[in-house]
Amino acid sequence: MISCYNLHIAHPTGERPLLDDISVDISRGEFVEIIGPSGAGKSLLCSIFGLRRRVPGAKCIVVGRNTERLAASKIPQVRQKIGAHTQRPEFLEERSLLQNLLLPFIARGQVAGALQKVQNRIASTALQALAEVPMSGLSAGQRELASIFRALVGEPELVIIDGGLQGLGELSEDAISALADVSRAGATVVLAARELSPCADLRTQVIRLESGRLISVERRAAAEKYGESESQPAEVL
Amino acid sequence: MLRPANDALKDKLFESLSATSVLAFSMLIPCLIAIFGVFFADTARSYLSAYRPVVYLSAEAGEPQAAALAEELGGWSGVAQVEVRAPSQAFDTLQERIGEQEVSRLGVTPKMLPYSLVLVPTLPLVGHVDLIARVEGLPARAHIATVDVPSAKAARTLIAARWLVTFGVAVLLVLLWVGIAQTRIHLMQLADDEAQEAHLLALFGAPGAEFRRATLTRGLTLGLWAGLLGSILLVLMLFIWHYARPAIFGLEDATLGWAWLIIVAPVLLGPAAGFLAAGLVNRKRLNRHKTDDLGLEILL
Repeated sequence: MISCYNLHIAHPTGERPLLDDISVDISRGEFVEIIGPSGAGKSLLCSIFGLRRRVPGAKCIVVGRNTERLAASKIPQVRQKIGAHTQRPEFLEERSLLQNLLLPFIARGQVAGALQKVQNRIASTALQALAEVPMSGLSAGQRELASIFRALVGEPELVIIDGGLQGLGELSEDAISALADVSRAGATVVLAARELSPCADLRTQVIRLESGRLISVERRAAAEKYGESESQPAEVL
Repeated sequence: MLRPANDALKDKLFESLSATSVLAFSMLIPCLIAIFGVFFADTARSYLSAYRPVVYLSAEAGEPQAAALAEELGGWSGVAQVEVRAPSQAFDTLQERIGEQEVSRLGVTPKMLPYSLVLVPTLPLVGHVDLIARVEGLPARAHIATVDVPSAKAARTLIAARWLVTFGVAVLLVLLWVGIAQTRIHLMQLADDEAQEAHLLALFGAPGAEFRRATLTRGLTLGLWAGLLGSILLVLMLFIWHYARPAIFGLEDATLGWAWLIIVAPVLLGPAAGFLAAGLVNRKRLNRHKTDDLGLEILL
């Protein structure tokens, strides 16, 4: 699903590189967590995986397409297969939560049945009661949860959650449940955070970053799933 | 797009109508100048085309001099034909015009009348103006007594009308550019208002062409509104002109048929101008933000 080789991004003022020779390989259907402290390069990596930025000269394959050779006109087609949540999610503030959750379907031009899909996805979650509330009326946690659901609702092949689930508080259960659903449905999930998430049973790979460098890659076959306590790196780079 | 492209025009109705009005007037004023220019040119041309310059030879000049001069003048550009009028023919013409009795009362005989040359001008009439100037200079030559040419006023009117049409075209280009600039500003504001929506939809894979198409649709719509408004105002003004003209110029029978070409011009020019304005907006937006401060290419 994602293969990047020797990613290197220099710091604009000449300090340590922002990404230093990072190679990543994520297979289809994996649940991958990218872990590292603030400034480790997690968000930068997520923006590259999410086709928000492109590193000139770097070979990076996302959703089966080599981004280096990807024509500008073809980028939207690839991006339609990606659902992304960022640390500072943007919304159409004057529009309702429901309208904001419909954006992935509108972007693809698949409006028929979209409303039903969105309502089914937020059913029995904290968002259900907020469906008609304008985004400006939601709390920070609710907005974060809404952004995560917006990334999932279009049933993308690749889900990128940058910022983890820490800010959700008691709402994190809804997010974990939804992430588990899409992961079991076959989507690839990339979760970037400072710490490991409570999704131990879903996790197949942990990538640790620090100061732009790859510290370790811990893999486990999807069938085995492992938790934090029993984590034994299968492969350490 | 969350809603049809033209809904944004309705949301900002005042601004949209302002842009439409500016574009409409930017076409209306030059069209009026062109219409009046063509009208004056038409009037002057009618006057000039009914008139033929006549060159009167002096009394001592005979048939050989008349034939030699006719051959020379026949070679001038702007002269299609030269008719040599002998004194006897001139006498017959005089009798036809004022009557035999009056001619005999005045004691006029054919011998008293000179040879004269009637010049039949060629078309186009632009050459006719030059011909008038050349004919006016002929009395300086031997054997030529005087000339009778169309009034210089008509010629000057024709020249002025020609310049008026040229001026109209120049004003059209300048004002049309002003109208396009105003439309472009409005379209840019509408696109900026939708920038966040465009950004969010692009995040989920909406093709940028969809937003560019929306801007083009708005440009065409504004241009069409402006074209229709301009044409309606032109029709109203021409109807007023049609009824006011006889009182002003004493003309009753001039036709306005050619004016329809100018009246429909805004309907064609307006959408073209709107499309151009929208194209300029899209071009500017396409050229925005290519790389960030890390040197990474920004794809979103």
